[in-house]
Amino acid sequence: MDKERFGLNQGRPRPPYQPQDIHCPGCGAGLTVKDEQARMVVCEYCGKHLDVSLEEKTVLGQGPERKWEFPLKIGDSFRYKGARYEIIARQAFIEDNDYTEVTREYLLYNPRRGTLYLSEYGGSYDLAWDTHVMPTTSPFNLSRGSTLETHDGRKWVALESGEYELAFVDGSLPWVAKVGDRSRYVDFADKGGANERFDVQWTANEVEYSSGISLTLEQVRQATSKPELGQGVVRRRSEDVVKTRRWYMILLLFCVAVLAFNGIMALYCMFSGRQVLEQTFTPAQLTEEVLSEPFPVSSDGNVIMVEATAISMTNAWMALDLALVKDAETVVHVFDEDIQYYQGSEGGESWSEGSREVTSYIEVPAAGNYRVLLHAVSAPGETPSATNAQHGVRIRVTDGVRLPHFYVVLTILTIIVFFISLVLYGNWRKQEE
Amino acid sequence: MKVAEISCPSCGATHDVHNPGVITVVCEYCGNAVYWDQEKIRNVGKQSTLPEGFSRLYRGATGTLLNKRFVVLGRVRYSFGRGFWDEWFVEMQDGSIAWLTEDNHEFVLETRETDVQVPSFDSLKASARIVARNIPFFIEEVGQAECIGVEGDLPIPMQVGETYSFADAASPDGRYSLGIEYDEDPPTVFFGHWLKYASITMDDEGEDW
Repeated sequence: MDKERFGLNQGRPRPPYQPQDIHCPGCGAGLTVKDEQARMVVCEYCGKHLDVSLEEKTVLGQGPERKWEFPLKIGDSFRYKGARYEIIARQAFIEDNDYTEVTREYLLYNPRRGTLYLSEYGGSYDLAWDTHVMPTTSPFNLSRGSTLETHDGRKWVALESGEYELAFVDGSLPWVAKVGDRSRYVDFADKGGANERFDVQWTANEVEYSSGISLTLEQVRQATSKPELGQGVVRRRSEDVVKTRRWYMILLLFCVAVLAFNGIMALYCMFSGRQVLEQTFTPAQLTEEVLSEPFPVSSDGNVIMVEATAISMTNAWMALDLALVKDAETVVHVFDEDIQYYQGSEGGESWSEGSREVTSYIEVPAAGNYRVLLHAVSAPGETPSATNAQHGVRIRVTDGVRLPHFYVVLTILTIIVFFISLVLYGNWRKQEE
Repeated sequence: MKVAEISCPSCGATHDVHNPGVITVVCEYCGNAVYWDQEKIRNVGKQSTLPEGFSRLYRGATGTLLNKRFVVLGRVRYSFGRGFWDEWFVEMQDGSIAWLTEDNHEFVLETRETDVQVPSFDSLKASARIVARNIPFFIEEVGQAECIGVEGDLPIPMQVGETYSFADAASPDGRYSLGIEYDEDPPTVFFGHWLKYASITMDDEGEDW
C-alpha cells in the first residue's frame, strides 16, 4: 500500500558509470578521468599537471623529470570487502630530502564507495580511509611511544612522526597537489596490539585524520591479483613499536613492583624480632669492663641485633669493644664498633657528620642466656687517643631478627635497573626509526 | 497516487508529483525547472545537467535506509570552491521526507534543528565549538556554497546560481555532524549523523563498474 501511496514504485534502473573524457590542454592527448571529484590530472603523455575543476582545463605546470618506480600501475584493481577499487593516482613522498626514504601512496577509487589510500614503505603496506573521529588531546609534537586516546574510546601508541614532502604524483586527484608540498604527520598503532592504525596529517591550514589497517604482502597480492608483487624486494625490518613500548612498560612496572616488595620486606626485617635487653652504661663502667644483664636467645641459629647508642656524644669519638658471652663465662663472639659524631655550622648553615648509633647483627649458634661484655674509650674529636670513656652507652638487643641486607642490596640494584631502563626508554622515544 | 501533474513549459513533457511536500520539479527531458507556491507555477528556466553513475544514489534509486524503504526524488549539488557535495532528497515509505548529504561518498542523514544558537558567520572560525543536543561540535569548514545543479523533485524552491554562506561542524567522536546554512535569519541548522555503509542498502548496488 505504501508503494502505491507515494513514489516508491517510481524507481528506475541504475544509470551506467561513464568516466569523463578530456583532452590535455598541453599536448592535446585524450585522457580518461575516472573520479567525478577529480580536481587535478597528470597527463600520462606529456607529464603536465592539469587543473580540471572547471569546464576549461588549464595547465598548472610540468611534472618533475625524475621517474619513480611503483610496483602497482594506474588502473590496477584492488579488491577490499568484496568491492573492486581501481588505482587512479600514485604519489611518492620523501623525508629529509632523502630519496631512499620513500613512501609510495596509491589512491584507490570506487564510484559507489569512494576512496581509500594504500601506502607502502619498505615493503610494508597500510590501507587507510578518512575518519571524522578526533583525538581527545593534541596529537602534535608526540614522539614515538607516546599514547593518544580518540573520542571513540580507542587508545593508540605513536609509531613515528615527521614531515613528508611530495616528490612525485601521477593519475587524477580530488585535490591539487604540488611537488614539494610538505605536511607533518604522526602515525599511531592500536595500543592493544590490534592490526589497526590512526594517522594525523596537518599543514598550516588543515588537519586530517585517517583510520586504517596494516596489510601483509600476501593480502596485497591477493587484493591486486598480483602473486608476483614484491618478489625480489628486500623488505625493511620495521620495529614493532607497540611491542617494544610494552616491554619497557613491563620492565618499569616490574622494577616498581620489586622496589615495593623490597621496601615492605626491609621494613618487616627492621621491625621483626623481640627486644630482650635495654641497658644504659656509665662512662666509668665502660672504662673498666662491664657485663650487661642476661638476656635470652630463644632458638639455635637466631640472629640478634645489637644497637649501641653513645649518649650525649657530640664532636667526639668512641672505640667500643663488645663480646657476646654465654652463661657469663664463655665468649662466643667478639666485635668492635667505632662511633663518631661531629656537628657545627659554617656560613650560617649547620652540618653534621657520623652517627651516635651503630647496629650489629650476630648469628648466635645455640639458644641460651647471654650477656654483652663492653669496654670503651672516648674523647673529643681532636684527641688522637684515650684511656677512658667520657660518654655513656645505651645497648638494645633484639632476638630473632631477620637480616635486611638482601633486600637493601636488591633495592639498590633495582633502583639502578629502573633508572637505566628509564633512560633507555627516553632515548628510544626520541629516536625515529 | 499523484498529487499533481506538471506540464513542462519548455518541452511540454508531463511529470507526475506523488509527494505533497514537493514544490520544485526539474524536467528530466529538457532540464527546465518549475516551482509553485499557493498562487501560481513559476518557470525557473533550464538547469545544469548533473552527471550520474558516480554515487550509490541516483534519481529514482530505491532501497532501504535504516530498515525503512526509500526512493530518491531529487538532488541539489553545491560547490564550495575546491570541490562539491550533493544533497539527495528522499521520500521514506511513510511519505515523510529526508535529506541525505553526500560528501566524498560518505552519507549523512540530516534533520532540521530549531533549538540551536549558532554564532554569526563573521565570528566563525575553524575549530570553534558549538553545542547542539548536548553534544559538542567543532567547526571543520567555513565557506561559500553555490548551487551548481539540480535534478528531480525537490521540497524547496532552488535553482542554479543561488549562494549562501555555510559552516560544517562534526562531533569529536565522528558520529554526528552539524550543518549551518546562513541563507536566512536565523540561520538554518541541520543535525546529522554519519551513516555506515551498511545503513543503506540499494536495490541495485551496481558493484560492477
